[in-house]
Amino acid sequence: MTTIGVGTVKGAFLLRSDDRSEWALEGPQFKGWSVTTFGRAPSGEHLLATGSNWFGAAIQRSRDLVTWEQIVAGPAWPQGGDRKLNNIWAIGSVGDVLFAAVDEAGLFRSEDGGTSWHPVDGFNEHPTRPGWRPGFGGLAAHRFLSDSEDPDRMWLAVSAVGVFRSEDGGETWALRNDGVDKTAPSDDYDEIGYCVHCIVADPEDADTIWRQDHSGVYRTSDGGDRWERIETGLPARFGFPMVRDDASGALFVVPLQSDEHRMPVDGAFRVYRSTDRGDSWHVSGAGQPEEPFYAGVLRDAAATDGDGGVYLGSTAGTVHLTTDGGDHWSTVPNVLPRILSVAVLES
Amino acid sequence: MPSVMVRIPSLLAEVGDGRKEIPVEAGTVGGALEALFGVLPQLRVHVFDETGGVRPHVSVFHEGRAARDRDGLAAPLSDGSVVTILQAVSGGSPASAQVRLPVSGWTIP
Repeated sequence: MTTIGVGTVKGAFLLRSDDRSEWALEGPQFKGWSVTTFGRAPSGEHLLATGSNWFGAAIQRSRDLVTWEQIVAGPAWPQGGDRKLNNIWAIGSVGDVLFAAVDEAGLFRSEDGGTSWHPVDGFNEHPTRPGWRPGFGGLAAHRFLSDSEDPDRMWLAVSAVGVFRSEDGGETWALRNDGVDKTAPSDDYDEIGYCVHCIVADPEDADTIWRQDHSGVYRTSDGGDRWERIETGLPARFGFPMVRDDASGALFVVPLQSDEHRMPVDGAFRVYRSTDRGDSWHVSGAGQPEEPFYAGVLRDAAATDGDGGVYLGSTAGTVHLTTDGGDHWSTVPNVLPRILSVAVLES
Repeated sequence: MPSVMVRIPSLLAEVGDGRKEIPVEAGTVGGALEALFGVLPQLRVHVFDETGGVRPHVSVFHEGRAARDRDGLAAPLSDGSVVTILQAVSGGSPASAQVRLPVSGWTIP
């Protein structure tokens, strides 16, 4: 059974299939809530984050994807302070420790499977924080990577600020963005002002990270010390999601025409694939929408299952998938609300 | 202590236990909310924000009046009182910001 979680602005839907050919839609769960990301606890429990303009954000957990309970003592900024928990954008783990990346930009950790959460002060009180300013999508910490061979090494991406790296388990963090064009420069802190949209790790080499940034598509081979542009073949350098199919090593992006327009170029929704580690990009296979399609894919609305499956959810509420590493694509017939997040929950 | 009813909106029922009406015993509006959180502790973060006050786009009503500040939350309740939590109606745009778009047509083959 393959189960894909689709988080929308009006709840979570599940796509289930025994053969990845015929799919059944379930949901919505958390009807009316934005479902901003999915995660997994070390125990195997499923996690997801809910948000609402009225009622704020929280983490929910479930053993069976049917019955959920909200974590009462979830990530939270201190009472009486001036920071707001607007959304929870990523939940990741390093060994038995869970991390949650949030807007207003912050990182929280849990050592008891998500029951209680504590601020990661080394990041949250970073010396450059007074210069952090929200981008169009908020002041969001949204992508968390770790080194499978060295649990003390981790990376955190923050919109309109940049990529941070820690070498000491999160005690201290340093900005690592050399080679990337700034899009939100600060008058007071020279090392910030990089609007990273997504980062993807190479599971075989933690020092290789790919990056879809506001200013383009990049790659680093030294853990972020130096980034280089990798945009050959792309119709536009702007975009949000980026994923890697671990079966083939192929990378996928969904380019959008400029930060001003944020739509597929000429109304042609096209997933681009790189089979040479980002050196070049080509339209990924057949079966992509032929009619004009003016919606994009957001940062967390793309996922892979490690077996050639790539799943994308659009801002128009459509789900596009391939199970052969991007050679052939199909579109799920259901139209959902605007999609914020996609995750492979079971495979 | 008066027996009162707390009514909550669908979104909160979704992350609560499914009920939209929760009976509690409380002497004040604020006390009713605390009693609600005693039953469903996960709802506290959805009603109060980091300031310790009611969220800006959440309303707590008792007898037709919004209880937002300390005085409102201290309003006394009696047997049969109803405290209602609502998602506030907010937003919209001024008339000057409204734009009439040109009409276009299409044919479905």
